[in-house]
Amino acid sequence: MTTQSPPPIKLACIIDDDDVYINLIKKVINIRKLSENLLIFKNGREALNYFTPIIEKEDDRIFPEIILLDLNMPVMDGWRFLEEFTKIKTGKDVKTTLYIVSSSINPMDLERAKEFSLVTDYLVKPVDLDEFEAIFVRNSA
Amino acid sequence: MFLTHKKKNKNPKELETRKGTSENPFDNFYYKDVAELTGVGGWTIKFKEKKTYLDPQTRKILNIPNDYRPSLRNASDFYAEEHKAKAAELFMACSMGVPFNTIVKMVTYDKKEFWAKAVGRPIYDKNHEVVGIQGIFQDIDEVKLKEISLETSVKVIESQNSRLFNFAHIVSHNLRSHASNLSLTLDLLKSINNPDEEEELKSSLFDISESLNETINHLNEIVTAQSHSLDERRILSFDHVLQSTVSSISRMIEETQTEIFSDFSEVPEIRYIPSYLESIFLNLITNAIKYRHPDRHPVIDICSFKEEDKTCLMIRDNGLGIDLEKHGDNLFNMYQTFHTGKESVGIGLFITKNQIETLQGSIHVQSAVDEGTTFKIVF
Repeated sequence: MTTQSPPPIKLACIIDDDDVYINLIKKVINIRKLSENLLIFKNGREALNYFTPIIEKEDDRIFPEIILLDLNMPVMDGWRFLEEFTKIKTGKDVKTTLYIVSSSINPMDLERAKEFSLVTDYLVKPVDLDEFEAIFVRNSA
Repeated sequence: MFLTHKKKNKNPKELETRKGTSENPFDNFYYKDVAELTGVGGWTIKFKEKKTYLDPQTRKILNIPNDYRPSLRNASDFYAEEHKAKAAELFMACSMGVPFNTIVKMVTYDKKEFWAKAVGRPIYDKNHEVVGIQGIFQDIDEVKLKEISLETSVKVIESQNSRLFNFAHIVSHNLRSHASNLSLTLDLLKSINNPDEEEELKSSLFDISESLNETINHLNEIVTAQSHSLDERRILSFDHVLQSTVSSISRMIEETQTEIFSDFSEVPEIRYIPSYLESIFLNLITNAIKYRHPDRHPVIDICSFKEEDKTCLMIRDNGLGIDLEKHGDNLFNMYQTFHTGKESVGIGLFITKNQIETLQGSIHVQSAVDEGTTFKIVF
């Protein structure tokens, strides 16, 4: 565990509608000191509303280094978010690593995720805690 | 020796019977019995003589009295309304030299519909000109009806199968998300040694157990909704079912000052499974109220009507509306909610669609954001 050293990244983002899961992930990040700050959105629409002005340079808040995206969400699901996000991000200088974190083990979802170059990897819930930590450390390196 | 002796005795008799019929093969056994056994009747139309001949078996199939004179003019009376045009077309083409072999719905002299195989071909004279047509009818009603009922069964089974598959998928997905939270919590519990954190994690175990229970209740609700599909259909008055639905949610209606207008004068009744019709009204009305527009009181219009001989029900609201271009595909899926809010669960429309489709109906939706949503059900 990296308890003594500073957190590997400054800002991580979770887009998920499952409160229980969010609380657990919060704890994991706090206990293992994986990120200094955490952004939480309950669906794709909320996240997009926050990201768009930053990408369009109308806002100088920092962009999360890691985005953990759920697929099944109300209002705007993960797929729709990926489509919209790809559109606004194209040609813009935004550095972020996006992981899908879903409880879906449907092979069709895994295939579909591959179609988005934006998606670095597909993690199936429940995430393994060490694997989860590795994502943050890898990203800081 | 014994065997040959017997054969010799039998042979002369057989020869005798054959001899009797061999002179005219279309008489007696070969023609009449075959026609009767197979239910095939023959007919001939001669153009020059302007005469139509029907053999006894055709008269029997069509239940025509002996004194009835067939003619080209009354020929179309023997075809079902929806097949008259098709029959006329085939006979016309045949008189130009195109044979036909088809299955058509016919009507007997005493107006009973039945399915028949109809085969016809042109008759030529020496100069290769068509001078008439001839052919057969075979009563295949029993076979055709079985085929139709089989086709319907296959369709029902197909749609039930795909729903079951969908359901299995939903079950596994929904249970998975709780299972994964559970395993994540236990993982965390193992790795920490702060008593406060431990307490907090234990309390999240309660949350998980609660949501797991809730999910199982939803699944149970769906299974229960499905299990009524074998209930008997009854003649139901739209108005009665609507009134009883409205009174069951009268508080919700009063609190939101919802107005409901209904007109069932065009089609007042329907033969349907009572619990299904109640559930359709309940789900669509509560949806209209749940997703009401913040700027106005909900107004719901309900009416029944006929379209292409089918009973339809329309339920229109003035609520939030849904962007169908974005969400159309997902609208009837389970756990798809398009508006945030505690009341959104996302199983109502899923159940409604399942119930309607179980009884071979369909549900359609039109919607405009900020204007409202209209559901049309074709029973």
